[in-house]
Amino acid sequence: MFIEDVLSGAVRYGSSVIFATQGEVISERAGVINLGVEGSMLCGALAAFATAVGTGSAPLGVLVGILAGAVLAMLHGYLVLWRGANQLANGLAISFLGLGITAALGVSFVSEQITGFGAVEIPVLSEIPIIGPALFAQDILTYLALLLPFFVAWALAKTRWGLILRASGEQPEVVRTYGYNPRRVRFGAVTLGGALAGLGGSQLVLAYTLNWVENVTVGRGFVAVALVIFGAWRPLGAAAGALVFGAALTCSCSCRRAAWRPPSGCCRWRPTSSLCLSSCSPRAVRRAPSPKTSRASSAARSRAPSRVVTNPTQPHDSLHLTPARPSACPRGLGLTVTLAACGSSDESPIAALARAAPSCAVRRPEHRLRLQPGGCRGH
Amino acid sequence: MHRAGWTVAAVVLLASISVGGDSLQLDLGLPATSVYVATATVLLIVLGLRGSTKERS
Repeated sequence: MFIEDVLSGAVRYGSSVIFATQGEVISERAGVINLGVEGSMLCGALAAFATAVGTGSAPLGVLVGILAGAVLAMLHGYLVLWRGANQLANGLAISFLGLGITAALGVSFVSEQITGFGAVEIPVLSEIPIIGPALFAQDILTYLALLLPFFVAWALAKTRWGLILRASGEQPEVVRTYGYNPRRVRFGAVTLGGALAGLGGSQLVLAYTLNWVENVTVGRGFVAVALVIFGAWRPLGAAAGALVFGAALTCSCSCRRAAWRPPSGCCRWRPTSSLCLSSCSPRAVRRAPSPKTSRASSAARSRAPSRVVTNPTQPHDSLHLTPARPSACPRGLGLTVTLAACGSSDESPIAALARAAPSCAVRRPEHRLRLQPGGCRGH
Repeated sequence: MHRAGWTVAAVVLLASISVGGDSLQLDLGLPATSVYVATATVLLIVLGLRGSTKERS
């Protein structure tokens, strides 16, 4: 019974966080950290709740909640990407803004009650012992939350959209050469992340609490940001972290109900400490970008001479260029031709590439190649 | 660039907003959370202006 409670609670508590983590994964993979997830969740929650109260329609509330979360994230994206604001400080300010606005506007909704989404039991499967009630007797948004990480993982890894999005975060110059505007791609990713955070907030009030109180998310947005790091910026890892977080919360509540009653401070400490410990997982630490390395590599890049390479001295030098037609070059965005061709005689790298890979003409031949540590790179 | 002087100035600014917000709350009957809105608005304006100035330079 205890295990069943914990599993069921993990899914119910964790599903709103799963939405937020998936949004944050998308945003961070595109290169923008959004600490305003908390604000987007709160705005989404209030908008969804107010709509559900006003119209009596929970699905319409979800749509409005998504919109509200996206609007707040768009503000973050605009200030960061177009006005050059600091990502972290701006995200915190957005969180404050969301908290303040929702607390001020939500006063009149505090005593309201809504019907919300009810549990939809899947026949047969919901009767499986232990996992049945946890996985197959939930509301429709929770089912969506359980499926979403798989979809996001697939989309990021296997689709062209995911490739462009990841490249915008890792090598924006490649995306630019490809004909896309990385800034707009990032803006779209931040907006989508905010929309998912808004969906998480909507799920929280329309399927879980069914009422509105000030600061209803209680820091779930910040937890989502931490879980993305815990999951090493992978959708499934972050979702697993969200479920662990939900399980820890349920455990603390179950302990209070049980005969063994730890102090209330201890109950509150447990989920947070599990989060702190999980953020120190070897995978998260391994994947975290090292400031030293980043600084060193950026410094090396700035020192690199900006001349056209005609004769690289290292035999392992490689030429990174972006193909004009991706269908002709199935290896992906960054075509790497190990040249040999780049190093021969006085032939220009563009001509060398055209000879080595004729199907992959360079879209902007006027862009020059720049010698960088480790090879010459399309620029 | 992180500068200690500006950090102190920012702390004073945010503290002023917080204290002023409390006074506003008492005098005008505004909700307590209006402080958050004021803080966020000031921060966003400052960050946006500072970022655009940095980019221009």
